Amino acid sequence: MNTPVPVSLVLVAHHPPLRPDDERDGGALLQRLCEHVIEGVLPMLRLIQGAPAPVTVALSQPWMEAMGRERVREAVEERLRELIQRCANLAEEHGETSVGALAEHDAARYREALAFYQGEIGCDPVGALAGWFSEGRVELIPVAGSHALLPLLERREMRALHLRAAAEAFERRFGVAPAGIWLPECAVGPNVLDALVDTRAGFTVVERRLLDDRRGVRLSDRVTLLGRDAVSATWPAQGADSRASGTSTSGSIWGWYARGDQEAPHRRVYDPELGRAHAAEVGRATFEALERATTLAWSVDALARAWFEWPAAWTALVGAGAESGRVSWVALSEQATTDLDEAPTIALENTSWHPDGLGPWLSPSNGWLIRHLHHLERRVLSAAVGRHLGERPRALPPWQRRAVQVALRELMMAQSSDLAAAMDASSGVAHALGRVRAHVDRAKALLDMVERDAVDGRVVEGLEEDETLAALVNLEWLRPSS
Amino acid sequence: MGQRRRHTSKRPPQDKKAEPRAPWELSCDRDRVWVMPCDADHALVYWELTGASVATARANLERISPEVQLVLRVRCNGRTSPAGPGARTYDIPIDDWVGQRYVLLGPGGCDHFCAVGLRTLNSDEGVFTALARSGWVRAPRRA
Repeated sequence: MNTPVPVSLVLVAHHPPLRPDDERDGGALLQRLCEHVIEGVLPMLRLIQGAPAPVTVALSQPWMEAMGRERVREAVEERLRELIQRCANLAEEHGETSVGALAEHDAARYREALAFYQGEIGCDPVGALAGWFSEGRVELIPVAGSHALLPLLERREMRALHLRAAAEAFERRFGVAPAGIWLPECAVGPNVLDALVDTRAGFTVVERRLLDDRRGVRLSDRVTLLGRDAVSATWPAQGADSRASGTSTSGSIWGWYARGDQEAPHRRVYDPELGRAHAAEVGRATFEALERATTLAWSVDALARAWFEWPAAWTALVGAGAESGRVSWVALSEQATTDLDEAPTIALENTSWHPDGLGPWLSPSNGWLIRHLHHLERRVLSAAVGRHLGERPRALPPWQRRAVQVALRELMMAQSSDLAAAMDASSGVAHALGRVRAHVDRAKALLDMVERDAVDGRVVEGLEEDETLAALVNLEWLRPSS
Repeated sequence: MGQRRRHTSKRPPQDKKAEPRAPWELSCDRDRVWVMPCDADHALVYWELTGASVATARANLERISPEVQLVLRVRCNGRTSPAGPGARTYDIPIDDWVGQRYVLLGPGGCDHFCAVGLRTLNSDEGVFTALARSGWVRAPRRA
């Protein structure tokens, strides 16, 4: 019998940074975050708790911050209660009909989710993961920085900053250095390779085709690249579940019912048993299509949006692998220790997991932003080392230092790939543009004050109150001696 | 578990201007060109030139020919050697000292750079003076 092939399963947990203004008045981003938690995060946590196989979860800093916010916790609980009530009302209204049965089914599902959220994990997804991580039940790694696409940053220091910031924030939170790091959108290029080696990232994952179809390569004693298999898709098919479920909708079935959306095309009735059976079939088919796969990665958010029965598909995939004896499921760090080729001089293309490479973030809708962000990068990095004070790098006076620290944070948020992606989407463009503009305006105003040596402490303190991503930033890393 | 992607980008128009829409003004302190492949066929290029460098280069070239044109030059090295199969150089006339554009890339795996400069119009090839040049980037192979 052949030796089982080590295969890794990865879930990527990321959500765009949530700002105070997104949280007010039940903002759309907060609503989406609730959906993400209810349909993605909670099923993921229950899967990990059941431990069908070792899994590596890549966590972004914005995601961890969002999960820990009191307002988010309250909103998730409120949303679950609201869904339970709506489903109960629907069940009563429709009685013993198929719609009534579905409403009963979903009400029970949301009651279970609420009990799990409040009772078993204390409304603290990151805390639960941290506990299981310390017990060795799950592997956690950080996602780099603010979820910026590293090849699109101009300066090597900036790329290194995003990587180092993620690693240090991870270590502060979980008490150990990360074994590896996840690059946003798996975006790489030669300039990212340099930063990875500099920051001793351990391992990261790139598209397998970039490694000439090898499972991974060892660049040096510092960095290993593992190849992600294209059979897993960061954004799975929308509506792929429609055949068996009897719906033609994408997204969560509960959404259509619970919103009472009479115009929704779901009017045919969803059968939960059939839906789960179909999902299991897809999971088994995915395994059969693996062939020589070694690293499979999905976005939790995307799974939630496209696969409301995705835990059934996942369980079937894992079960099919275990039954076959052809694979052994291993965490990414174990994958990185397997016998891999040495490739100290690999030439990586500038690309991402997307079939169009970096195209979605360099489109006519958002490509214009790059030049402006590069300008800001140069200004922030220059101010961070005190170049405005003289030709040689100098230590900054305290208020200037605080101002530059906030400006750097604002820049990192403006660099987030989520904002560029939203500008390329059909909705949310104005919101994304407004957010970028606000970040850039704040950073520029702060840098103006620093460069004029006229920092207004009240302005800086006011901006410091928003702690979004503040934990990522440390100006010391930019000083030449560090 | 599924192959189609939710996120579909608007493909860049080939050899078309990508109009900046930024609400901010930028001051250019030096000449620069930056290029990054968007997909297997296209790259986004932006450039910034200072008035002084353009004036100096123009004055020098006008000694050779009175007619000069600002151009974006795309250089694609061949797969096996700089002048090997796939190698080519082409120019796109540009009007602005600051701008951006999508350009066509050569075959996947080939190295490219872009330069912005002035070219005389006194012959087909003309005399080209680069004002700024990007780093090398490799055209991605098709996914």
